[in-house]
Amino acid sequence: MTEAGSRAADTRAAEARAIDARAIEARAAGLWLAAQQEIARRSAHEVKNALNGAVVNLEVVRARLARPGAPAEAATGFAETAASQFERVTAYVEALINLARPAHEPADVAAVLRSLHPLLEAAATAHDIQLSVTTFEPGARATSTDAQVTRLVLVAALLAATGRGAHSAECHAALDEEACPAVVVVRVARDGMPPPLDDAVAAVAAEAGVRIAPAPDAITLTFPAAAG
Amino acid sequence: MKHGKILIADDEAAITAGLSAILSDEGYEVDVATDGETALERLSADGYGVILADLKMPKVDGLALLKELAGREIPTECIIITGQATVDSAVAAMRQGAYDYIEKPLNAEKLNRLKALIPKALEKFAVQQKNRELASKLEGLTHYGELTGQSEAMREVYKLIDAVAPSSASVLILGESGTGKELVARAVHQKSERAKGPFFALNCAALPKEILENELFGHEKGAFTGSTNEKPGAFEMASGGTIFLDEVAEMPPDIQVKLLRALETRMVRRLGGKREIPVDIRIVAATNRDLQKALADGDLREDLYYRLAVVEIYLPPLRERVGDLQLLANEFLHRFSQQNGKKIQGFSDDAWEWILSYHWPGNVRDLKNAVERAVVLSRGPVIEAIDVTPRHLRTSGETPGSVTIPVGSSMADARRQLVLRTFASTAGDAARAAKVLGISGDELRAELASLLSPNGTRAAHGDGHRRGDDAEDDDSAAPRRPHPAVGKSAGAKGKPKKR
Repeated sequence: MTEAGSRAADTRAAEARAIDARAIEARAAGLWLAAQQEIARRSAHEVKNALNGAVVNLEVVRARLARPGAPAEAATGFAETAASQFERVTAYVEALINLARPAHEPADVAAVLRSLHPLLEAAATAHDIQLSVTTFEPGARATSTDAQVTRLVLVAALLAATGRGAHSAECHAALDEEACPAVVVVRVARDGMPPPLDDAVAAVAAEAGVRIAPAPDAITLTFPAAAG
Repeated sequence: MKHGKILIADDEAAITAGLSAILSDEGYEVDVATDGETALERLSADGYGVILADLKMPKVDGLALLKELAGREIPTECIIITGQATVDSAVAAMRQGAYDYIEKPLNAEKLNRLKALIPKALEKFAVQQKNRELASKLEGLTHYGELTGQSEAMREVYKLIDAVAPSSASVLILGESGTGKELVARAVHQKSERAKGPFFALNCAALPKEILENELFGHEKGAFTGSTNEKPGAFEMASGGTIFLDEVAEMPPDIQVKLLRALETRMVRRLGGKREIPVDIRIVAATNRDLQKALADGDLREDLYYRLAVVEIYLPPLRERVGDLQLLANEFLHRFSQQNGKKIQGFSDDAWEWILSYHWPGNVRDLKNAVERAVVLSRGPVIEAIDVTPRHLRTSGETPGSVTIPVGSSMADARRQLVLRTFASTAGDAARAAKVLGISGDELRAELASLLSPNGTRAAHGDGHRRGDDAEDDDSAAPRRPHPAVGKSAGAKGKPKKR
C-alpha cells in the first residue's frame, strides 16, 4: 500500500471510530433521558413529602405567631422542622439539576454517585428500600469511560437494585490497584436477586468498555481507570 | 375541645407533626400512625371520626387501607392526601369510599380546605354512627348470633342463652329437627368464656357405635386392628372449649355410661389406653326425641339426663313461632337471591299465604330449603305460591288436615283458620279454595287480604293466637320435657299437613 493509501485507510478507520462513538453517545443520551424520567418518577413522592413537611410546618409557625401574645417558643420547633425540610428540598433540587447538567470528562465515579445520592435514595424509598452509598472522597476514581455512559450505567444499576422485591441495597465503589490496568469497581448489592440491567444499557456499557458481572445478590460494574 | 378524633396516617414525621399541631390548635383530638398497618390497628381498637391518610405509605398504602376499612367494616371517614402524580389513584380512592382527597403540598389554601372538610366529614360520621347504632338495636331485636327470630318464644331462648352461657353448666337443647339446635349450641359457646377455645360438634346418631366411641375418647396405638397411630378424641381436642353432642338420646347405652363417667370425673381414657387424661370441657347436648319416652324406654339413662340437663333450652318448632316466618322467609330470600345473582323483589300474596299457613314440619331448615329452591327455580321478579310449595303437595291433591279449634276461640279465629288451611291445602288455588269453602272468589280474596294486612297478620299469628295453635299442635312430634308439668305427647308423625 502506498503512503497515500495508508493515510486514506487510517482516515477511514478514524472516521468509522468517530461514527461509532457518536452512535454510542446518541444511544446513551436517549437512555439517559429515560433514566432521568425514571428517577424523577420514583423520587417525586419523597420530594413532595419534603416540600409538604416544610410548608405545613411553616403554616403552623404562621398561625401560632399570628395569635395575640403567642410566645415565640410555641413556634420554634416547627420553624426548625420547616428549615430542615427546606434543606432536604434543596438537596433534591440540586441533584435534579445535576441530572440535567452535561457530564464532566473524565467522569469520576465517586463524584457521580455523590451528586445523585439524594435522588437515588428518594427513588429507593418509593419501593420501601433503604439505600446506602458508601461515602468516599472523589478524585481517585476517575474512569476513561465516556462520562455520559458512566453515569448512565451507575444510575441504571442502582435503579435496578432498588426495584421492587428487596428491603435494602448497598453501593460501594473502589479503585482496584492490583488490577492491570487499574480499574474502578462498583458493587451494587441488595438483599435479594437484583433484576438484570436493561439490555440496551448493558449493550452501550459493553461497547464503552464497562464490564458488567451479575451475581445472585449483586451487580458488579468494572470501569477502566483513567490514566494518571 | 371540639368533638371528634382524627387519625393521621403518614410516614413523614415532619408532616404528621405539623398537621397534628394544626388540627390540635383547631381543637381536635389527634393521633398519628406512621404506616397503614398501624393505622388499621388503631382504627380497629379505637373510634376515629376521620382519618387523614397518605396514599403512599409503607406496609399498607392508602388504597389498601380503604379496602381493609371496608372489608373489616371499620367506621370512619377517610380523607386521602396525595401527590399530583397520583390523582388517578385518588379518584380510585374516592370510588372506594374515601370522603375526599387533597393534593400535596398542603399550602395555606389547601390547609384551609382541609380545615373546612373535617367538620363535614365528622358530621357525616356522627350521622352514620347513629344509623349504625339504630340498625344494631334493630338487629338485636330480630337476631341473636346466627339465630333469627323476634317472637316471644325466641326472645325467651335468647334470654336463657344469655343467662346460662357465662356459667359452666351443661345445657340440653330440646327441639325438633331443623329448629337450629346447633346454632343455639354455638351461641352458648360464643357467649361463654370458652369462646376462644374449640367448638366440637358430633352427631351421635350419624356414627356407628365403635366410631362414635373412638371419636369421643380417641385411641392408643394398637388399640384395635389398623390403629397404627394414637388419636386424641373429641374430649381432648375440645379441651378448653365446648363439645356439642347432637341427638344424644341415640347414643348407645354403654357409651352413655362412659360419657357419664367423663362428665363426673372430668377425665377420659382412650380406647386401649390405661392413663386417665384430664379434660376441661363444657357439654352442650341436644335431642329431637320425646325425652319422657326415651327415659321410659331406657334409651337415655336417667343419671346421664340429669347430668346433661342442668339447664334445658326448649327451641320451639317453626309452627309455634309463626311471627318469625316473614322475617325468616325474607332473610332467606335476600341471602339466596344474592348467592344466585337474582333480583327477586319478594313473595306474591299467594306465596305469603302458603308460607304463613303451612306447618313446616322440617322447621326452619324446611323453610330455608323451600325458599332456596324457589329462588333457584323462579323465572320472574316475584316468588309465587307454586314456587314455594313442596312438589309432593303440588301434585298429590292431598286433602287438608283437620282444623282443631280450641274452646274459647272467637268466631273470627275459627273462620281465619278454616280459610287459611283450606287455601293452603289447594296450594294457593283461590278458585278451588273458594269452592271448597262455599264462598265466592271475591269473598275469599277479601278474607285473605284482611289476613295479609299488618293488623290482620298480627291478629292471625300474634302471641295471643299462638296459644290456640299450641293446643292444636299437641299431636305433633315436638320433643317434650320429661317433667310432669308438661303434657304427654301422642308423638304422631303423619304426612305433611297444613296449619
